[in-house]
Amino acid sequence: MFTANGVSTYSIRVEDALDPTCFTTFTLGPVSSCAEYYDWGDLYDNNDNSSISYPTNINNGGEGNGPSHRIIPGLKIGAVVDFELDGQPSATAIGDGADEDGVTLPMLQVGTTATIPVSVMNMTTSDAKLVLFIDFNRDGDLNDAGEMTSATIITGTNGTVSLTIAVPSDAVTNLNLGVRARLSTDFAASMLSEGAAPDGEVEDYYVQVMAFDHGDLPDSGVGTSTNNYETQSASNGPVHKIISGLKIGAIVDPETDGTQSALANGDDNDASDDEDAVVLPVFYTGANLVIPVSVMNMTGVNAKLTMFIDYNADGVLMM
Amino acid sequence: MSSAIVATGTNGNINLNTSVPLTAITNTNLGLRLRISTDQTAVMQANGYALDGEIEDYIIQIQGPNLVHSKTVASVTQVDANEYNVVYNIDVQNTGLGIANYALRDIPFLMMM
Repeated sequence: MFTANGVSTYSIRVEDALDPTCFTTFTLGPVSSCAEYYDWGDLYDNNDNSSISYPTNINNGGEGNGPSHRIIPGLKIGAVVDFELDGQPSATAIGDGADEDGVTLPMLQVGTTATIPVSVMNMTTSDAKLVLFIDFNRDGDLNDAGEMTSATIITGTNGTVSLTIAVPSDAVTNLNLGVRARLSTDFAASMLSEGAAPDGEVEDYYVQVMAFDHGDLPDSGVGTSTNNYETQSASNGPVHKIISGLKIGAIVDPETDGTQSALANGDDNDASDDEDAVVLPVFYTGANLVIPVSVMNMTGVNAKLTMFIDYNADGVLMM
Repeated sequence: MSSAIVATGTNGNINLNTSVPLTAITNTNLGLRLRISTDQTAVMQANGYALDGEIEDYIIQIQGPNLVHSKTVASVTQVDANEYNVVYNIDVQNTGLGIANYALRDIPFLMMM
């Protein structure tokens, strides 16, 4: 086997069958260097270490070198790997074109564990490490605790591997978060979000994390009856995607399902009390009540605020 | 249900009005649900998905009336052989918070001689 580095030479000695001191040496090489092709990432890189700037380019503003992988046969993420001379940063991580084809990003929801299928091939003779990073706190690096998940891709793998990662309850929502997948037989290199790896591929993406608010009225089962409201997802309870600038009261906190409870305090007693918009008056029969509700709407479009009260205690909150 | 439009730029209190029916169930836990969304159709229902906003749930109880009444005969005056004027005092007190209706019905009947 030759090393194609343009330097090394190789000798073949051919001896006389009857007199080994009689021989001829053939010297081969040096063998011309093979062209080396590298794959680079394409997360946005403003070379300024800011919260939206990832290490993607070569040797940029204190962020370290972007990731690169020498392209070799049989080791890749997805069907395509293409080569670049440097990072190809773009605001939507499409600068690298067609080779971002291996990772299927699902909807990511705070407080849940996401399963992320990744198409990989490892036909080399060594096991490889597949690593996926997500910048959950949107600080422009992929190095914080909980931002990495990985799997060993044994030699001979050619198919889909599922990675799992916990989406933190305080993940930044509704904004693009950098995602980077790396595959290399150099485990240590692929476990870093930046720097060169001797082989494999890097793929960069953006993803958004969503959060939802649910209610907490008592819900003892599907349907409605006294003290049995529609709260849980199984009962088609109310769900609101949380966005900035639209809320009732000061706080809105996310849940992954309704937190039904007899006194409607399941949502009050979790991470924070988001039931904070009204000071309820004394309700009495025949009263004409004016209830001030603290609201914020900075969305740019009008919203509607509604209030339902189950005056007849049948569990149905009707218009 | 009551509702109000929350114009964009709002950051403060919006008043919602509700009239508690005289027939409302009293002294029982009742659900109260607030929803806000730019998805104005969605929040007209108490259940289901709204594309943005928030939901808050509360438990309330409604105070009912507490009626105490008594009837006493104040005076009886004979008008003629077969007719008396009777004056009753009806004393009605509502010691509860709730408003109640109180009705007097005079149901005449023929006394069998």
